[in-house]
Amino acid sequence: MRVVAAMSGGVDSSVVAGLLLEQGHEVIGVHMKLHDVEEGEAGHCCGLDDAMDARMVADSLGIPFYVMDLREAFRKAVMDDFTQNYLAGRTPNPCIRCNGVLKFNVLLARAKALGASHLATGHYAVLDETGSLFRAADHAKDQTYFLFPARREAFQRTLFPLGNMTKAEVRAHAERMGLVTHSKPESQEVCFIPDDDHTRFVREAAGDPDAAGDIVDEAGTVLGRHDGYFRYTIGQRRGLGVAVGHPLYVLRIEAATRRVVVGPAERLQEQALVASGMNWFRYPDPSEPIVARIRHNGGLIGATIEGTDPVTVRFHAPARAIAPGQAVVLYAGDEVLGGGWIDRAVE
Amino acid sequence: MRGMYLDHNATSPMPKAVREAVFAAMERHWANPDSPHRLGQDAAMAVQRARTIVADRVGARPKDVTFTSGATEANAWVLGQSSVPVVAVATEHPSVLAWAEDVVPVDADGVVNFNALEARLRAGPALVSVMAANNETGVIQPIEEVRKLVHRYGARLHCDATQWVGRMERTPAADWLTVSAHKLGGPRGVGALIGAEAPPESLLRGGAQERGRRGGTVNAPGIIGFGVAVEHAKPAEAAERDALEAFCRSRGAAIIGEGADRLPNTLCALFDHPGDLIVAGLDLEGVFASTGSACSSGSAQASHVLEAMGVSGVPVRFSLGHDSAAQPAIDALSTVLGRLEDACA
Repeated sequence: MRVVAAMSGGVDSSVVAGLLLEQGHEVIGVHMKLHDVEEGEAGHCCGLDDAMDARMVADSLGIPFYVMDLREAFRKAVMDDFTQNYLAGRTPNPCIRCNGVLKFNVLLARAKALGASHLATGHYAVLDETGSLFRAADHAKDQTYFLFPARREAFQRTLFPLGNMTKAEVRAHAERMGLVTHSKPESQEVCFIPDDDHTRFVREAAGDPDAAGDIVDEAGTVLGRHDGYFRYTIGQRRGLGVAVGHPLYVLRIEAATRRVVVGPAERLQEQALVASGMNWFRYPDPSEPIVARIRHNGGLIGATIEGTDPVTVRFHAPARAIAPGQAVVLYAGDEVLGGGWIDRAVE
Repeated sequence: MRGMYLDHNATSPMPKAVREAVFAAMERHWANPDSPHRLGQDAAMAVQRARTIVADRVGARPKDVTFTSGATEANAWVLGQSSVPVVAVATEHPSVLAWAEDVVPVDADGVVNFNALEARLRAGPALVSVMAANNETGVIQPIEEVRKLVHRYGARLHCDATQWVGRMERTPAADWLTVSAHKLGGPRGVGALIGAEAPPESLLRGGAQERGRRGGTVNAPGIIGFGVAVEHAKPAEAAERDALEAFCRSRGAAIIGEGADRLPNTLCALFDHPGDLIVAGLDLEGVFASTGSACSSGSAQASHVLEAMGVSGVPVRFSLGHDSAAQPAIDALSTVLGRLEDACA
């Protein structure tokens, strides 16, 4: 069948294209041009050098390759959303937004428009033919946390060829196929912020807003000043510049008053959260054991749910540092039940 | 790779006669044309014959022709050395706009706004640069009227005729003309600046070549190929373009610059779907078109030409050569547009 492989220029998606070709599929490589940010040292996605890496891989595989200019859609759906979230005192997750709005929506439609039955990406996750999503065989590499906004219908036309592989296996495939990207480092940072300084990005994107304010304790006592509330994330300890004799953590960010509320570690422990913008793959049976994840690489916490959207997630053990704007993803075993955006922690 | 090539405004394949002439020049005229011996003199004569062919084609004297590495270099030379401000039209090639201090707008069809140009000419001295025909839309500028207006104000006119010469019979009259070899079937890396008067300084100092105007060993095979390409260039014909254009209209496309005179080989069509996606789909069907001007990353960029005409969106540009046929492109477009409509349904 004809498959469009999303080729970022990294090793994972390079191997995806190569494996699909070996399986006998007609593979078309597509690179999404998402922004104009210059690349830093290495390992960032979406720049021109990555496009060239992807093109070189496509050339060595002998497959057609196209760069798709999705800068405007990316700016609106991901970069502007990122800034707005930080200005609202939330901690956004641009990779999830990109997957939901661009990859498994716009790019999938474009794949279909090129006559492809499926879109393939280098995500570490497993799909069945009904479009159900499961954790990757290598739980340490699992990326289902980033994939929850995609619709089941989209996943019915998606392939994750790396879902049952380890990174070492993927690199071995890349070397075996002689792909130029085989030893390329992992990309970690937000792709449009190569220096990893999100504060600078938000400041520039928002036109240098006056965001300075007080650092207060839960009683409202002013402990110090900060120069921009969007510098902080719930649970953050460093960079407060406040000493009271015991460690202080960011508990809340109040955008309206520009106050950053701090307190001791135990005050970060939460019993429940409310999330909205839910995408359900399958709503669980009442008796079914559920676990929740509230950050990538975070642990799985036993939970009980009420409602569909918004949903209240009650944890069986306290969860630390719930950050509005991040995602909560719910699992039954390896199966992803659904996910959504955290509005707030609740009692 | 087999297929139907419809991107002649980006570059045109070299006809057999040109390839043979370049190859023969590498066999027989490989000596330095500035060497004093007979081998060098033979090469110099071959270059001079090419110079005469190019000059005849545009109605200039051979000594008015200075060969360059292409149109961009010719534009940079004449505009970069101007002692008065360069005034260019908003739809000019970036290699012209790069030197412009003032930009004259165009109307919705891409034709230069004469009132704005005259207002600028009234305001002070200028070197005006107006292209003969646009690379993205094919829109032809009324150069004769522009020249009269410019000269009435005692200003000078440069005309980038890169897309014009070789395709159209009559050559626009201007104080300086830029010509490129590869758009008319010549080798890449060769062009010329043509004008009775040279820019004030050498383009590349340190050599007596090209009457001291452009130092560096003369690219004899390229220039000889340029001459043969000019000899073999036939006027562009509109029939196949018109057939393709009618089909694009029937599928709801807007034709950019449709109210203006356009090059008979060029069609810039704006569909309801992104042009870069249509171009990719056409590529898979073996039809090679583009979204506008060529871009290094291969991705579509917002076109300053369309922007100047008040048009937004990424178009598909078809630019045909003498071997181009409409029907394969129509068949491929039908397939691609059909898939697009399904994907959006």
